Amino acid sequence: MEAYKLGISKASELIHCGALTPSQLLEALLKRIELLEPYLEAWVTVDEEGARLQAERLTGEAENGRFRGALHGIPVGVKDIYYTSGVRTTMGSPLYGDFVPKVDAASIRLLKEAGAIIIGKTETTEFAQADPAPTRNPWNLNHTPGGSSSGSAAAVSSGMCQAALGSQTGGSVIRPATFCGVVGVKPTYGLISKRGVYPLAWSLDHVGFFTRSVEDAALLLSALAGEEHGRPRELNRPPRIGVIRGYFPELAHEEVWRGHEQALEVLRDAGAEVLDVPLPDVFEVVPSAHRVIMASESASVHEEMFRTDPHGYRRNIRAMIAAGLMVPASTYLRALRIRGRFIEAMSATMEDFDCLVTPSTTTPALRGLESTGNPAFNAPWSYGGLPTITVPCGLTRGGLPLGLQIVDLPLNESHMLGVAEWCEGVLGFPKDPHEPI
Amino acid sequence: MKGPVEKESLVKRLLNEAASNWGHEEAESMRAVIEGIAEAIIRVDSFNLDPRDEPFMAEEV
Repeated sequence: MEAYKLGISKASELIHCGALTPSQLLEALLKRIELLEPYLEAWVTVDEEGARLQAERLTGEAENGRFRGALHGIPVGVKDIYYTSGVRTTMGSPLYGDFVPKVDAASIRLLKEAGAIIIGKTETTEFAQADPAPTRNPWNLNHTPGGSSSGSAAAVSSGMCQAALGSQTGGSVIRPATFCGVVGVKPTYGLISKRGVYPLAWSLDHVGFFTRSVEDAALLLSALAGEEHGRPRELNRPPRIGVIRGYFPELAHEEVWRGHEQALEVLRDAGAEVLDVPLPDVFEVVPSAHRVIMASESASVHEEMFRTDPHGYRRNIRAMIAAGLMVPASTYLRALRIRGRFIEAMSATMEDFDCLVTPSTTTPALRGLESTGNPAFNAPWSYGGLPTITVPCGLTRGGLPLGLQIVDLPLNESHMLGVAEWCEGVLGFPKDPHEPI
Repeated sequence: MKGPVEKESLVKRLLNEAASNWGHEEAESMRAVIEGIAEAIIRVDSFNLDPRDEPFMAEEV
């Protein structure tokens, strides 16, 4: 098998037994990037020199039987809002076009400690909000890969790297993961440190990531949050799944809902208990509370730069900052207080279930690059800080991926990964990189 | 949620504020976002909270 097709788990196994070196793996991925980047535009910066140096160092260590961790020699892409020491970090904005951080984000330090190689920086929408990146969807170059973590999702999907970091404030991991047919993880709020990640809205921002399998997601989460969170808990029976019937069917595109029903049927046939769950009353105000917090906190983050240079920002984020500056403090504080009520209500709803599931997105990947899609199915969980994962669950008639979003209780990632692994196994979506050309 | 009249008056107020900050043309270009935020403000302000409702985060509940 060509090295770019390997998942983290298999590549790591080969590196540990000496059948593959970190340098060989890196070169295979650089070749893949060279081939596909003109079509996909997933990267802001590919740090060939830095990555090669690090790969040589790790190859030497492996030859001497020294391994830093499970990610020893595994190249990882990083969304261009993470501080990376000595590597330009643009936030997708000309305002930071020449910015080179002197330090690594906390999550980058953890990846490096586990032996990962930072291969480069991936495209993001401007400041991780809604103004699109140039990246195209590997499954259909005429469609958006989603956003804001557009480059990370496209890079993992197409085999340019095996894992990549993203971030989610609304739906910026789960949505692009779904559109690109890969696994996306948004852990519990705060489980992975955000230090050194440029904020969009600090009480909604999550570090998240992309892989092509749940097994690989578990390895990455173990490196970033510890094995107690990253090791999938084995299920002793098929899961008891709650299907949310309010809100989601009304907003879902017909093909998305059909795909969701078909996926549920497959899970049911495999032994899962699939039961309807009503939404708690507080849910009706959640999208509005999320919007109020996102606008207010973004406005606060950008206030000084915005007042000096409002036209340094593109249209969508400029309007959101301007609107956020006008939100009354009392409304912002109410939106924060509603969050506590929402988390308590969702925790009570989930008590009788292993997890809740929803479609991962309202639509399949939209045609064109003007919009990265609608975060409506993800924003509630970003607001509540509840952990979610998406696993690919099928294709539309036009061949675009669909996803199953799994929601679990706070700090229950180990259990969530166990459920996701079971669902992934039953749904049987291919894990190989997609060939875009 | 309160009625459409209240939303209309809030949108007008926000548009006027935006116009005084960034000019009329810029404010009009933000109309869709301003309408969205006005609706969100009204919904959040209309939601009944208990005095004991505190701004917990996920890991605290």
